[in-house]
Amino acid sequence: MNPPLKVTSKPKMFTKKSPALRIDEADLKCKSKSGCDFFGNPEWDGYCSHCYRKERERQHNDQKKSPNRGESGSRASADSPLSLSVAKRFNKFEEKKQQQRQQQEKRNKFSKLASSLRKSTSIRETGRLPEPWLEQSPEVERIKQDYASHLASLSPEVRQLINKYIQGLCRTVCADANNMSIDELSEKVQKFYQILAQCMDAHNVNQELKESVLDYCEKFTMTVLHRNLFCPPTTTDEEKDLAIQKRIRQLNWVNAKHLDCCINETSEEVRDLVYTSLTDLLGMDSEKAPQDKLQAVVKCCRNIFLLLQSSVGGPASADEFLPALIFIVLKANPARLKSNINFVTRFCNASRLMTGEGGYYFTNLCCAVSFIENMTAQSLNLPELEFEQYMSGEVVPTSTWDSALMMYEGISLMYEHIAALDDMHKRADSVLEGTELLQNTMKKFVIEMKLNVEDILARTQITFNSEKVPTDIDTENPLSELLPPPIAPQVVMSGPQKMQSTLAYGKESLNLPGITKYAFPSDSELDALGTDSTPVDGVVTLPMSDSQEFLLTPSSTYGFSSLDELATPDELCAAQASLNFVQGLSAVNYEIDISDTCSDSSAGMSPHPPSVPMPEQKDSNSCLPEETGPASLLDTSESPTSKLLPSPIKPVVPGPGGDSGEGSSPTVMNTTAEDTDEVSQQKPLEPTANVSSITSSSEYQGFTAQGWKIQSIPCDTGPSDLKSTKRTKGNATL
Amino acid sequence: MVQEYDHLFKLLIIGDSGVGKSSLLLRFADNTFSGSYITTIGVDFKIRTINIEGEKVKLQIWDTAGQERFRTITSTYYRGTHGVIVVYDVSNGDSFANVKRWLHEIEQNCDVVNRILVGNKNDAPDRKVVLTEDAQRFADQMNIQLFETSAKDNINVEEMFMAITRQVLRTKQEHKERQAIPKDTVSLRKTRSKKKGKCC
Repeated sequence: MNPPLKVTSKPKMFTKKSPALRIDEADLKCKSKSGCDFFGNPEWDGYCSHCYRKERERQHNDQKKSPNRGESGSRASADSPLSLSVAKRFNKFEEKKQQQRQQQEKRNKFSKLASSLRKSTSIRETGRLPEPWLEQSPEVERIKQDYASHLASLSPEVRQLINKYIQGLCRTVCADANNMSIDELSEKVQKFYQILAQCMDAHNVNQELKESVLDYCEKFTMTVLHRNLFCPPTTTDEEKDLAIQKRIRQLNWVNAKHLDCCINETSEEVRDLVYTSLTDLLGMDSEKAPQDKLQAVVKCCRNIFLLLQSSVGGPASADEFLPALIFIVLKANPARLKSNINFVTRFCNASRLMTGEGGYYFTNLCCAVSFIENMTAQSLNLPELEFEQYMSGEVVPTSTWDSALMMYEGISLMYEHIAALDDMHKRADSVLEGTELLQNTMKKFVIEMKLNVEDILARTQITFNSEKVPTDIDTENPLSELLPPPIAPQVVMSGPQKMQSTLAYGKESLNLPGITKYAFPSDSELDALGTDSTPVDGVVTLPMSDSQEFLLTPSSTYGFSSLDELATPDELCAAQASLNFVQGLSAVNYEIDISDTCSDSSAGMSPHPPSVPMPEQKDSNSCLPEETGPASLLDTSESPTSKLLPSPIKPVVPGPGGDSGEGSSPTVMNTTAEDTDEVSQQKPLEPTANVSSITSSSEYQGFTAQGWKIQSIPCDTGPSDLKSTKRTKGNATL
Repeated sequence: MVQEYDHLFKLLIIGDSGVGKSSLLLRFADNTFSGSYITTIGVDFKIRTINIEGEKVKLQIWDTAGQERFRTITSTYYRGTHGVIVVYDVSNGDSFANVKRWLHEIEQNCDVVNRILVGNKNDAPDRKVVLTEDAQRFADQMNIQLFETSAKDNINVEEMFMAITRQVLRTKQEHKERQAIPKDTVSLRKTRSKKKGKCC
């Protein structure tokens, strides 16, 4: 206010500078004379906060009372033990003064003011040098450069006016920043804007230019005065900042779902936009001018709209925008949020706040903040208890922004694993089922096989016999034991007869079928036997009395015997069949269980196959008399044999006849033969069987046993050969 | 010196969420319906300059969130508002029932303001629940002009905005005329204060 005084005070301050460099504790203490024990602060002229306020009030009163306050004040400060801060400030003032001068020169370059005017302004400025508002910073420089062209297009008169207004404002604000309430300051600034606008209107300044000049003025003054006006100590802004910050921290569990806002958190594009809008909002604090802060809000909101568009798939409305903005504010938790909002509302050009995009978005931001401040369980559609728990931190929120994403990933991974496990489980089940099935089938198979085997065994208990048969055939021991009786005939046999018979055998065997051949020898043998039998078989003579009966009975007995013998061929057949069976079985057994017995049996069987074809061979081996039996059985249907049979019957009859009686027997036999013509086929068989049992059985057996060699054997001497073979076999077995 | 407009009015669209506030705004400002159209800027803030009675009027229309939970904080929107458009959905009875609450809110936040009642979504007669007669009776009772519109089919939208603008313009002119006399005295004072400044 009183430049000359201040200028005079300056040199004094310089003189005080050097001793101030030494600092002891007393210097750091509050310089209040009342002996305050608190430490002082350079910002508060070395006073503690309490004393500083008092001192300010005192000075303010003094200033009003006496215009020389400045000098006295400075003197007082110079007298005080600590003048460091004051010295610093004045040092700064000095620098600022120089800068201001330079700046003024620069500005004057652009402004083509009259030299007189320039002088006057420069004088004025130098007069106000000690004022702190003229501190130059690169920011202010930049602003000036940015708007240099706009200012240049202004008429000098208007420019001068504007400069004057700006300086006036800065001066008053700097001087009274700590004495005036923030509302008064705000009113002053708003008035300043209005005056500027009116001034330009009065000078018919272009609307566009007016806007930009207003913009410049706002930016310039607010940047310069930012330190004084932003969050001043007279307000409770700082406390509010901390309160809202704490509140937002408490609400960190609130997510997009709680706010019903349709932010697609999983989309990468949306997430990027969320982050850019977060940084935009955070950038609000770093800006100094209100319109720059406003611009930061606008940028943030535009990004929110973009992300809503990609989330909703169309233009978003306020219904979606406000929740999203609240969400962004909650996630950003901007520093000094309240201070910034208050600063903008107080010192931004009111017309700008009332209208325009910035105004709209800022209004929304204010709404969002007030919503956050007054947020209740109801406004989040949450139960009261749950809300309280979340707020007190008792319960960890189920899903916040980050944890939701993490959980999403985790869950998706889990689902994948579950699916994989399910698949594996299914496969394992199918494998188990398969194994069970296989086990069952195996069991079934085993049981079936057992049953089959048992069945077959039950059916083929004879088979064992038959099995024995082959072994018998091999060993031929029992049969060989039976053979001796034939040996007896040998004794009985007369040499020539036997020879003849053998010869006949040989001859006939060569030419004729077995049956016919039999006929011849039987005749001759009958004679021989008939002659021989009487002396030999005394026992047989007993039935002679009832010869007829016996003859009849023999027939019956024959029948029986025939039955028996039939049974025997049957057995043979059965044996063969069973052999086949056994072979089949053995084959089967081979496949399943490899046991010794089977191998043995199979070994036993293996020789049989030759025996099986034997019957077929019999035809060729016509010499075999016994085979007629089976052959006849087989060939019962065959007519030639039946035709041929009658003739054998005759010889056959003598066999038993020979046994039973002397001469009558042939006739009886004839009759019987005639009687049994129908049964004739059987009858001839019977004798053959008998014969076989007596004489040629050995041969037959031998044949079966010997197989191929049989033909030659009977030709020479059947029995002897047989015996020899038996012996050899016995030896071999032995 | 070319001024873009003679008047700048701020209009507010209020109403329950989902009644089609944004659609109305989009239809009026861009002459589009938000089917699949994507605007570069949000629809919430739209400016359109129209000509009414030979005067260029720049309309600035603010969309608001209609959710119940934001009801208490929307008061900031009303600051400096010239006209309010209250929207309800003709196919939604509740939205019409809430109109009374919205009107009450306007009274609380603004001293003198022009209002207009709009029944939107008037394009499907079979789904219409709020009868025109009922709405008209209510509008007459509250002394408000009623419009039934369809943002989808672009029915009555332009007319509705024109009507509210005309109302606002008339109110402003009346206000000017009323303040004509005191204005002179004010200017005298201003000159005095200016002189004072110069003296300093």
